[in-house]
Parts: sequence; structure tokens; C-alpha cells
Amino acid sequence: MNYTTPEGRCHAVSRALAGSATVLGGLVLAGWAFDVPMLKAVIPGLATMKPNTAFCFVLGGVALGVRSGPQAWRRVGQLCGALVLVIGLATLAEYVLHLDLGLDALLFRDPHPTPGAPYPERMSEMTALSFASAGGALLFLDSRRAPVAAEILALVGVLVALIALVGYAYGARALYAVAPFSSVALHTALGLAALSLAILCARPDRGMVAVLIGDAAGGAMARRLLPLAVALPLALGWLELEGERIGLYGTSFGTGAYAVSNIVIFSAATLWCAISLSRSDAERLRAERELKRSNEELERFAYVASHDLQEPLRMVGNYVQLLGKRYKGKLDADADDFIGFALDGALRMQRLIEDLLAYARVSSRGAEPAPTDANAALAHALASLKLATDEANAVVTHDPLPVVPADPSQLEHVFLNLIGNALKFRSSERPVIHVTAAPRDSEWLFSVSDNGIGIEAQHFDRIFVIFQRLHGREAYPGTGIGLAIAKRIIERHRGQIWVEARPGQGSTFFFTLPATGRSS
Amino acid sequence: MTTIPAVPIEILLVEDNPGDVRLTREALKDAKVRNTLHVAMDGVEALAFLRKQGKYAAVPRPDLILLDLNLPKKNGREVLEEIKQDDALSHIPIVILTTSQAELDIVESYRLHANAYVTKPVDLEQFLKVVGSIEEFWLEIVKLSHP
Repeated sequence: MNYTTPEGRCHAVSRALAGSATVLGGLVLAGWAFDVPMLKAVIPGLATMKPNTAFCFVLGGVALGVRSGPQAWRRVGQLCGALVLVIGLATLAEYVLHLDLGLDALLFRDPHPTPGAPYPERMSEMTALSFASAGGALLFLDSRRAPVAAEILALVGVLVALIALVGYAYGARALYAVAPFSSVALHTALGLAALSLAILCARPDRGMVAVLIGDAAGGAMARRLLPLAVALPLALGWLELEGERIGLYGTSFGTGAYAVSNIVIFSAATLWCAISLSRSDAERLRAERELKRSNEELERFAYVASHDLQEPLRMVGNYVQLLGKRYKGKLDADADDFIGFALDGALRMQRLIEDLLAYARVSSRGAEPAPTDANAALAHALASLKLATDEANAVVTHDPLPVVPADPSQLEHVFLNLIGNALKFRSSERPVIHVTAAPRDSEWLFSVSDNGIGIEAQHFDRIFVIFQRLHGREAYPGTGIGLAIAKRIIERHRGQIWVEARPGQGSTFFFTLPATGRSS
Repeated sequence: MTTIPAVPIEILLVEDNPGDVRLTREALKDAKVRNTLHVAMDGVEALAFLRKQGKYAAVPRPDLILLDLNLPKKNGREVLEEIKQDDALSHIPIVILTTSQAELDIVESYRLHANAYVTKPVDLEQFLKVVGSIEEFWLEIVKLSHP
């Protein structure tokens, strides 16, 4: 596992927290099995963690722990999550409908029940609510359809834990005990915090957590303000209470002082963040302007260069040819050869210049992405390639493709290029080319696979560099512009392009396109 | 072939590159249409030729103008604009010759009412073909104006 990236560290934190929840649950279950009061209630006299609560911690921890395992394990994990959800919901139902489903004392009976408590083994409403949410969060954790659901549900557990822990810290019983005989035990609150945070940290790649650990300005600001938002009111509140308790001041003074210090410190922190944010924003704007200017300059340069280079080149090409036309056979064989080489060079250079111009034009002449039917783009590309396809006796198939935000002619160009390459770099077998697209988070993953000559792994990056070629011009003609233009087009559409291939076993080119356009 | 006029057609080539002038001359040598090629090396000279100013007092009015876009002193676009604004000259068909394939040039030339637009190719055979097509273009024009 990689601990050097924020995502890797997030996963590590998630596993550590899930592990502690499991261990906590296990210890408390042992406490019930062997009647150890210290394990059941931490401090004798405080509320006990109920057997089902402990069991749910074990299940929740296991559900998170086996997530990265093989398929069968993940099934077990899903089952554990579902069980947590069922126990939470059933207990809530017991409270709301005044039922006794017999769930509470299923594992252990309380040997020392609190006098007057109707169900001494039943977890509190708040705990049950937290487990119902946590169970749901575990089930939604890897769902593609409801990426936010897991986070919101996990936050319920964090909130319950926070309320209960603050209740314990401040000695406010009402915060951890909703009704008599039903309170969140101290270690239950800690366990809930651990389990819920573990669920949140389990998917650092999306949602709130992704923003929080991300490089963007939003994440940086949240990382500064959040610790303060949690620690400051807690500390100030505790100070206020203690001051009041030892008789330094009354409630109104204490609350006033609490409010004022909160206002002052938060305002200062917000201003500090605002200053550093606007500074980095100004820098970013400057860099953007600079980039835009240099891009425009590059395009102008490419245009001017291509025009001004072509002028003398035409002279060379035309007159060498005229020389050949008039004096072929009148000089000697060497002269004819030399004329041939000179002409070949001139023609090749013209192609390079034209390609360079085409490369520069990807961004300067590209249309704004609009909803484009990829099926139509592919059909156009295949129509242009009909001759080459027939000549190679190739079979080109495709799955239904989506509508994506793109410049239609540029998307067509990408297909044209990738399929053209698949035809060009074919093996001795009959070419079989397949085009697919599959949804992936907020984007579409396209692939064009062939059974051609393949590519060695060491060249995977090189083939996308302008004018880089892997083969001699004799074997495969071309300047080496195609994939460079495809890459520039895909990157202009905020996607990525790469290849997976093995020599002699065909290649698959992948590219991604956002599923929806920028919402602006 | 009966439409080929007996009088040679007068062509004005506005081109600053001697290489291109020579090539055009070579290509027109083999042309089906009898022609006389006049050359102006820049935009100012071209307009002086067309308006028969100074040393051009005795030159004939051209039947066809081949105009390069990149010229010294006054560029091809300016020349084109001036010709099209001049009632005495605006009827003369103009073919734009240029090295640049940039769409910008094409768009701008059409906006300025050039009659045709031709990119000078690197390949000689293509160049000859281009001159051939200019000839055909000319014959079309003749057919249209003398039915």
C-alpha cells in the first residue's frame, strides 16, 4: 500500500479505524461472555455497551476490512453491512412500534440488569440510528449510482458520536441519553466515531473526502478551517463551563465571552484563509493569462512557420522536379538518383509542415464540445476508411456508443486515427477491430482494440509524442503525427488516452471523455 | 475546341517570387490557350499596370489576373480590394495563388470576391495541373461571356 499519497494515507486511516472498531466490539463481546464489567462499561456505573452494539462494530469493521479482498470476501463484507443495517433498523422499529423482537438478548443476557429497565440489553435509539445509517453507508460505499449516499449516511454516525462525546466531556447527560435507561455508552460513542470515520475515509477518491484531501484551493482551505471548527468551540465551551463551575462568572458572562471569542477567532481564521486564497487565485489568473498568451503565440508561430517554410520548399521541390523532367536520362544515373532523393526530401518536409500545422490547429480551430453521438462519429470515420478496410479485408465491430460532449469532427478524427492505425499495423492475420465504450464514474471509457502487431511496453508513451515513429518509413509510411493529434484532441476534451498492448498480441487504445459537459 | 479565341489572352501575374514567375511561364508555354504573360512584382506595380499609369501607358488590359497573396509594398488582399472597388477593373476575373492553406486566407479572399482560390503545390505535376485548371477556368469564363 502506498502511504506517500493523501489517498494512500486515507486508506490506511480507514483500515486502522475499522480495525479498532472490530477490536473494540470483540473486547466488549468478550466482556459480556466472561462478565467483565470494565469491558462492558469502561467505568463501572456508566452505561454499558450492549451485545448487539459490540456485534455491529465487529460486523462493520469486517465489512470495511474485506473490501479490497477477492470477490467472495467482498460478498461477505456486503452481508456484514446488510446485517448492521438490519440490526439498526430492527432496533429502531422496536423503539418506535414498542415491540420486542427478541433481538436484544439474542447473544447475551445482562446478568446485572439496571432495576426498572424494560430491555436491559437493548442499544439506545441514537446508537440504533447510527448503525442503520452506517449499514446503509457500507452498502452504498461502492455504488456508482449514489456516490453521495454513503457519505451522508456515515455523517449521521459522526454526528451522533460527536453529540454523545460532548455530552460526556461536559457532563451533559441529555446529550448522550435520550430517554431513561437508554444512553450511548462512552466507548460506543468512540466506536461509532471510529466506524463512521472509517467509512468516510474508505473512498478518498470521490465526494467530500476527495475535495478535502485534494490539491485544489477548496481542500487547502477546508484543511485549515475544519480542525479549528472542531477544536475551538469544544475547547472554548469547556473553558466556559469550568469557569462557571468554579464560580468565576455567571452564565450570561460565560456565554457572551464564549460567543465573542468564537467570533474573533473564526473571523481571523476566515480572513487569513481568504487572503491566502485570493493570493493564490491571483497567481493562477496570471499564470492562465500567460499560458493563453504563449498558446496564441505558438499557434501564430506554427502558422507563420508553415507558410514561410513552404515557400522556399516549393521552389526546391518544383525545380528539382523540372530538372528531372527535362534532363532525365540526359545526365547520368547518379544525377537521376540525386534528383529523386532531393524531391523525396522536399515532399516529406511538406508533409511534416502540414502535419505541424494540423497539430497546432487542434486547439485553435476546434469547436466547443457539444452533445455528439459517438456512433455517428465512428460511422463517418469508417466511411472514410472504407477503402483501407476493404483492402485489409478487416472486420470492424462496435458496441452501442454513448452521446458525449465533443467536437464531432475531432471525435471522428480520433476514431479515424485509431482505426487507421489498427489497419496499418496489422499482423498476418485478418484484422479484427472492436470499438467499445463503458461508463466509469463521471466519464466514458472508450477502447479500440485490434489483433495487430502490438507494441512493446517501453514505447507506450513515446508513440503519443509528435513525429515519433517506431518503424522505418519503408515498413510503415507516415510522419508520426496521428497519435499526437489524437492525444491533443482528447486532452482538449479533458480526457486521457493511453495504450495497453503486447508485441504480437494486438493493441488496445483507451481514451476517456467526460460524461457531461462543463456545467457553465 | 471552337471556343478558343484567336487572339492571345492577356494574363497579369502579380508575383514577387522569380521562381514562381518562371514556373508559371514554363507551365503556360505548354498551354492550349495562346497567351501573353505580364508580370508585376508587387501590389503597387500591379495597380499601376491595371490603371495604365506611368510606364504602363501602352499595356493591354489583362483578361485574367493571377494574384499572389503575399506581396511587398501592397499585399494581395489590398490589391484585390482595390480592383474590386474600381468599376473599370472589377469585371476582370481574379485567381488567388498562394502558398498558405490556412482557412483564414480562404475565407478572407472569398469575402473579397476573388473568382477562384488556388494553393501552389510543391509537386510540379500538380502545379502544371493547377495552371491547366486555370486555363479551363478561363475557357468557362469565355463561354459565359460569349455564348
